[in-house]
Amino acid sequence: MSDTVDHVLDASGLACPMPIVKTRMAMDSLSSGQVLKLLSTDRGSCTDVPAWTQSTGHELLEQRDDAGTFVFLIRKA
Amino acid sequence: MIEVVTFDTPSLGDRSYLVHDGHTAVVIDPQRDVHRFLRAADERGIEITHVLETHVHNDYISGGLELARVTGARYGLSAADALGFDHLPIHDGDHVVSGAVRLRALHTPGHTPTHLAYLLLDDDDAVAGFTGGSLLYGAVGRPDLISPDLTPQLARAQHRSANTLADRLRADAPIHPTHGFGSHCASATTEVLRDGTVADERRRNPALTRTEGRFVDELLAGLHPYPAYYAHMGPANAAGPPPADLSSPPRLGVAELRDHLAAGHWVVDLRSRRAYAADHLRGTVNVELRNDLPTYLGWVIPWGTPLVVLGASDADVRDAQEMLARIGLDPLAGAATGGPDDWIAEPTEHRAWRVAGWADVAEARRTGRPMVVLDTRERWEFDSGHHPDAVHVPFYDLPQRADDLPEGEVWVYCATGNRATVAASMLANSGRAVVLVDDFCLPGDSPGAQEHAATTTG
Repeated sequence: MSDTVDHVLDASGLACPMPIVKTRMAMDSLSSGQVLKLLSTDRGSCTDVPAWTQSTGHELLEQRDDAGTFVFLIRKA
Repeated sequence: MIEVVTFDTPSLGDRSYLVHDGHTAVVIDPQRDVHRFLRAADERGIEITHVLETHVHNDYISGGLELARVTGARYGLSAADALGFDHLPIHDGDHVVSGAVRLRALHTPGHTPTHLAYLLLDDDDAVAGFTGGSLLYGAVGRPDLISPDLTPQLARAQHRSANTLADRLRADAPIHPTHGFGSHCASATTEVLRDGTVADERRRNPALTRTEGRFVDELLAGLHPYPAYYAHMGPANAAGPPPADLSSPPRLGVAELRDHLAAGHWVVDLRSRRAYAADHLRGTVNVELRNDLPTYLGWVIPWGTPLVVLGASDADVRDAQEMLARIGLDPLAGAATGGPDDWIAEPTEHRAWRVAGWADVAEARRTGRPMVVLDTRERWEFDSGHHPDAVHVPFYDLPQRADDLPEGEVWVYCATGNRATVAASMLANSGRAVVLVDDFCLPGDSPGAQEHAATTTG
């Protein structure tokens, strides 16, 4: 499986719960196996995003801090 | 060559701007942590000659007066505002000139009655607009922050101001608003708007695509509650706020923390809701260190109450201090770092509660245990879908309405868990037994609805 990014969502600056709300909308538009790259500047995303992928069954492929921007790669279940 | 430097403040959803020609600069709507603007000017070797406000802000404490003081810049605000300090009074049509940077003020009432936008001029062409709380990306600044009596007329004025701005600016002119980034009221698309020209706004902004009547109706119907601390920002900004006090707060030991709590001061634990639920100092409030910190804490703390913060590290305390100073929650009365064992001496001062998910809520309902399921989100979120048994009290109303809740253990939820932990800690402080539902209830969700249907029909 490749980690090609199929869609990028820049949720920088959004307040809770909008990063997760927008992430869900973006994931809904993808097909199973496709990958979303999510960018957020809210450190709350570091706990919210893994919890959300766990609760929905999507796979969190990668999570990293890129100079203050939190980057998540999520593969749709 | 004119450059516009943008400063994002994601914890408030605001932007500030520095406009310069390589030698001198104008700063527009600076936040209170003025070192950001001073550093940007130093890095470029430029002098800030003017600091301008588009309006007397209602959502943060301005850094304008302080920035003008330390740079010797002129501080310009609407001539129509009653202000408690010396300033450059600006009228509709006035020009502000800093080297090659030429701005023309335009009165754009709507967000406030005296609001000004600043048009960047190239000869006579308006090539960019600093639109403050007037024309935003895909939206406009809310018209309801001044008084309920004025809201309808300000909404109408906002429509006219947006159209005037669009007419005065060139079609390809970028707009640079101060407000509107990260709003809860963002439109229901995956799109997040971060830039735009007048031509973009003519396609997507309701103020430019709708008639005044329809625009006003939709704007007024879509207004959600705003944080309680907003009430204190306008008066402070009009009086002339002091510089932010970012001095290192007194480091407190266990006895001093206890004294602060006994005196009715607020002791806020910044750690994650899971760490907090596992063990914390009784009597504290949990507001996680994240972008929402100033909004949520500013919404619930009785204004003027001395504030102590507890953080895992010195860096966390510093981050919180800077975020909170932007809304005037400075100076801190004290701080402590580490964890519960550093903050608590007596075993009885430890407190903890269970963390649950929706499956646990369903299980508890099946066993028939006396429980209250509490939805702490905003009304629009609750109305979009909620747990079938939920009682709705927004987290910010809990200090006043805790006594309205039915008897029983309170299972507290929000959209993600981070408002729920604020609510749970305030409820526990008023003597309630709580469970933190650390699970999702995003707009449109109705967790527990299926089991509810199964029990009521089967």
